[in-house]
Amino acid sequence: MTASSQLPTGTALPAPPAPGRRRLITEESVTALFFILPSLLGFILFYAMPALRGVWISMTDWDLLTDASFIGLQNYSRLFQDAEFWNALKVTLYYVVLNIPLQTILAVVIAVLMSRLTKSMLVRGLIILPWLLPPVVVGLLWLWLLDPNIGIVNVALKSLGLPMIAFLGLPQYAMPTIAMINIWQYVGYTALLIFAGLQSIPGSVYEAASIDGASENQMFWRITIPLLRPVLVFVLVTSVIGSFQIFDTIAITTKGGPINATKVMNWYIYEQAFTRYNMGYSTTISIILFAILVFISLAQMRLMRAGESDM
Amino acid sequence: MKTQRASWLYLPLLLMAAFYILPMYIMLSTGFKSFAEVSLKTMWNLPTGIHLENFQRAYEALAPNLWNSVRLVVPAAIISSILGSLNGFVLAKWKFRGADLIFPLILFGMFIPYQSILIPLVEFMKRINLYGGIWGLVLTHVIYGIPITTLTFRNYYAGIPVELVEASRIDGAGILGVYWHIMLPLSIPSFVVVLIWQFTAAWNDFLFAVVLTKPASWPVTVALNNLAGSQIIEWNVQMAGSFLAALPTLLVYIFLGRYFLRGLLAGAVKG
Repeated sequence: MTASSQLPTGTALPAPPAPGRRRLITEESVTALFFILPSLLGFILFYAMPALRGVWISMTDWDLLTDASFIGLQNYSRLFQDAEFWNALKVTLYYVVLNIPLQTILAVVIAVLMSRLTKSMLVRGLIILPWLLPPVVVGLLWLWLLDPNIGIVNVALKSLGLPMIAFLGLPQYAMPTIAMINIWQYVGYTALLIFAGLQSIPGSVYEAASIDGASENQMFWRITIPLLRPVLVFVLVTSVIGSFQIFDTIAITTKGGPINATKVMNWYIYEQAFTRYNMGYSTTISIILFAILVFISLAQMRLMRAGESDM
Repeated sequence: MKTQRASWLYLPLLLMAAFYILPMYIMLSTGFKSFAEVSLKTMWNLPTGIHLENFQRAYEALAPNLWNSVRLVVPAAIISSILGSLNGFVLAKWKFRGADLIFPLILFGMFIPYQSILIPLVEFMKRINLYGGIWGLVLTHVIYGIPITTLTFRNYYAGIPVELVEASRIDGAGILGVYWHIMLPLSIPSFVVVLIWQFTAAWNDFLFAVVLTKPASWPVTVALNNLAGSQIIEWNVQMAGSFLAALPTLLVYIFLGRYFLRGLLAGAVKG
């Protein structure tokens, strides 16, 4: 009885589920679509459309005063003759070179020291404190600490019998100083991410290596660094992208000066748009910046994967 | 031998700690000083008394903007976290047609420098009458927060065993049920991370705020920069104001920091 009542359903089973499941999928696809619809709409309206509109604006001579008219690629060819643009590109690259290697190495050192010396949650908490401060606050703080007349750093230099330095006022010091300020703000956060990566390396790997007679040095270069690769890629890609977009610190401290020494691309874009009202040209530069960022991130990810050993 | 080396390693750590902590100590101690004490000789000293009048003056100047920031950050953080969670769930556990296209698109969005969108965004905000006010800025932070919140939640949900989802589907739960009864309760740690992240990002933002809002709606970062630029405000008041501007993020972090760190340390590896 039970068998016979079960049998029809049993034999019937293969057939009905197909349309049933298909109906389920369409029904649930609608629900799934509702889940992402708000984001998708917002993304299209406020992200994708402005981005595309930017491409159009970059091909106009829009300057707020007169109506925009299409000028083709003139803005792009103008870039090549614009010494200020090349300077901005150079200054930005200089900043990235000053910032990234030092910050990454320091972060690795701090992360290794942290994992060796302390399990304290307080240390981990303190280490990302500067990262939490608004860049405006960080800019003002350092502007004051480095003030050529009353800044505490110069007071300290003077008391040591050294000459006082206008850190942010001299072209040769301004960019390294900005790099130092931003390293101060971000190195702790970077260190914490790397520290997280270190924690994920099982201790048994090191034990095995030390049984095999590996030195500390060998372990660091042969185990720690290769196994940290995913975290390092993430950290490098995000911090390089971030560095290319440096803006806040410069807006607060030097405003591109002295004599264009810190006029990075983002500041130049901002200046072209909001003080010179060259909307079309400003957008052109920002599209070039975008292209550079995409290229660099792809190249970086490719490079960091090259020679990857699946340990 | 091991302990000897360890104690030697404390030296660079202490130096770095000093480089780290001193600027913040000076900001705070200067905020408490009277103007007469802000001089070369007493720079390093603790303030003679607690001069709250600096904070009072800074607060008087910044109060409306501090409230603007609150009105900006609370909705921005909450809405973008909820959206990120919904997206993350669908992308991690519900492969629908086009999902493979949407995720890289969102990731790609993280690479677009804000400057390239700024001018068309201002133009669009003006057209829909959201330019200048706080709600336009809220909306902007919600939208521009979506890539990072989606990514965080997607990574988190991807780690939740499929069996758990399948079991509840066998029990008859629909997609909404799975999200509401299984995913949402499990993702509280991710919510803490993402909320703090978005809170901090929106509170600390300067670029969007300076471009998209008019003075009446300025959040505290823009107002503080403006205050400093006016040159008549003394450094001790500026430092007090800076401290006020930094305080809310610090407070959120002090109370929820432990969860934030834990989430960050767990999630970063996957990132």
